[in-house]
Amino acid sequence: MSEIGERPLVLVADDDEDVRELIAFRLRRAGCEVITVADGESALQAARESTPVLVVLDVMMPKLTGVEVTRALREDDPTREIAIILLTASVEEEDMQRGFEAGADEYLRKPFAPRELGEVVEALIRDRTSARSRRA
Amino acid sequence: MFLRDVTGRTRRNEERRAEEAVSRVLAETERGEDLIAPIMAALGENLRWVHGGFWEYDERRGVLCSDRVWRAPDLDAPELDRMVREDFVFGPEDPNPRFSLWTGAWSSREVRWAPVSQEGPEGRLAREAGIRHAIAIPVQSGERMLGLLVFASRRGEPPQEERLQALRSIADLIGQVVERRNAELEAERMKNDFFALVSHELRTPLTSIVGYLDIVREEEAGEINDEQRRFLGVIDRNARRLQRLVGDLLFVAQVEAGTLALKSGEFDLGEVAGNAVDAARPRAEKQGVELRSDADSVTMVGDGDRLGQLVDNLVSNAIKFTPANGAVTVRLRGDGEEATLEVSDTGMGISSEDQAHLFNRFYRTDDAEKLAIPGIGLGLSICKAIVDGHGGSIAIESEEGAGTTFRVRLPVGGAPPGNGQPAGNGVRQVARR
Repeated sequence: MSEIGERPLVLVADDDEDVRELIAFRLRRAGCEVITVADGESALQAARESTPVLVVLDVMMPKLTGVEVTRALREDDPTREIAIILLTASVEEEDMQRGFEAGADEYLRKPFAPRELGEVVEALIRDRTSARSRRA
Repeated sequence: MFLRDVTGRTRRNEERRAEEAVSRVLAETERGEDLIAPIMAALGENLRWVHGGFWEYDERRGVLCSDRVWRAPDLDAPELDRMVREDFVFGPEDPNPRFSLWTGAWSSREVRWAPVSQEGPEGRLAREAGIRHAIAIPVQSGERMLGLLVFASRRGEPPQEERLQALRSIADLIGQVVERRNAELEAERMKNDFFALVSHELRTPLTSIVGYLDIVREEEAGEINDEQRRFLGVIDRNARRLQRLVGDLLFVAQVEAGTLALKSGEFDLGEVAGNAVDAARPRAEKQGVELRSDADSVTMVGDGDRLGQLVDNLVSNAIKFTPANGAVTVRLRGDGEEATLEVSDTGMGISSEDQAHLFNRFYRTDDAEKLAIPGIGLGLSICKAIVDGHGGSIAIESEEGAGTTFRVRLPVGGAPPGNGQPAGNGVRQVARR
């Protein structure tokens, strides 16, 4: 992920601290600035306050699920364009479809390969930052 | 008067018909569907009642309330419907005499009847609908009261003992079915809990194990020496083994629960088979087994990931059961309609007795046990489920001491419609996004 420019802001939300820190470590190494939170409500609040380029949301989180946070982000103008990756331990195809219907850009199943996460993040950030600079 | 025309015989016919209709409802209603509404219709229509409601016991609030109303097609009584739904909410021990039929049936757990008053505002509604008496039928599951069915009748004379007796046995029947369904729902719930447990509680820690291992192995957290690297390799191999095992268990549980969904997309099965062979090559080399691939390009529609898993399982099995200096051959041909995949080995062969059970879950052959070949007996049952889900077939040819061939035939156009429904083999098709 060496091509990500000028430290894009990424929000990582997962109630499992180890997984959260794992993702954060990876993303910081890849040149991102990372905020971490442990539940859905905090995720929504943090996303509204700091408008990151990308959020990585665990689906099964306390207070609000990742799918609910996705839906809420897509409803508001300032957060509508944020790239969203959902993470889940579920293998049910329907859960995945619900995630996409809510507006997620990508969906990763746990346990995911670190490389897979890296590639998805890189592609989405590149996509969003070029869209932002085009608008600017 | 028309009452005289209703002889004892037609009455008995009515009861018999009602019992049959209720039995039919109980037999035909799908699990999880509402039983009460069709039961109300079956009883009401056959016993010539005019109006009825089901008062469900709301344990949380401790009250009986009706949300379901049935009425005879010739009765137009919106006021009565509304009253039953909204005004008749009471506790099982409510002292108000207007609810005495309900509370009496509830406390005695017996079918009860009572004349309906023709006085006052409620009496006006009864008069308009021609209602003369009402019958309350308790519905219980084991010792637990679920609710009361209450019907109104236009007949002036009290219901005969025969009818009450028939209603008692109908109520028992309903209770038994409801109890059985509750038990099924409970089993379903436990199965879902198991899913959640396996998916979440095992896969989440695996995410951390594999993820942090990767960081350390790639020396992102500092340099490691060769011996450390080798040990980390052992951890990694075993974590992946655990990951595969969790995946297999989940797969089987999903097939069992009818929630496994196969994707449907176009891909080259030859490529899929080639990848599986490449992935297995290090294992084959380590065991001194020659791995040959002779796969044509065959474009087909189906779930490429799952078919990759199929080839992988068959090839891994063949390698496991083939001694050193033997060979495993993967062959793939297509004729435009059907793809035929063969995985042959020069291994120990499978007795005809074992062949009969080979696709059963957790089945392990005596040889596998004796030679302590690793596995838990899920691989081939998974293969069978994948093949079934694609509308194909899997067959085995084997000679003890000479070798085994697994032959899979798959329609290249995808599974025919109607195949792979949960009722059939627990696998569904979903469109690829």
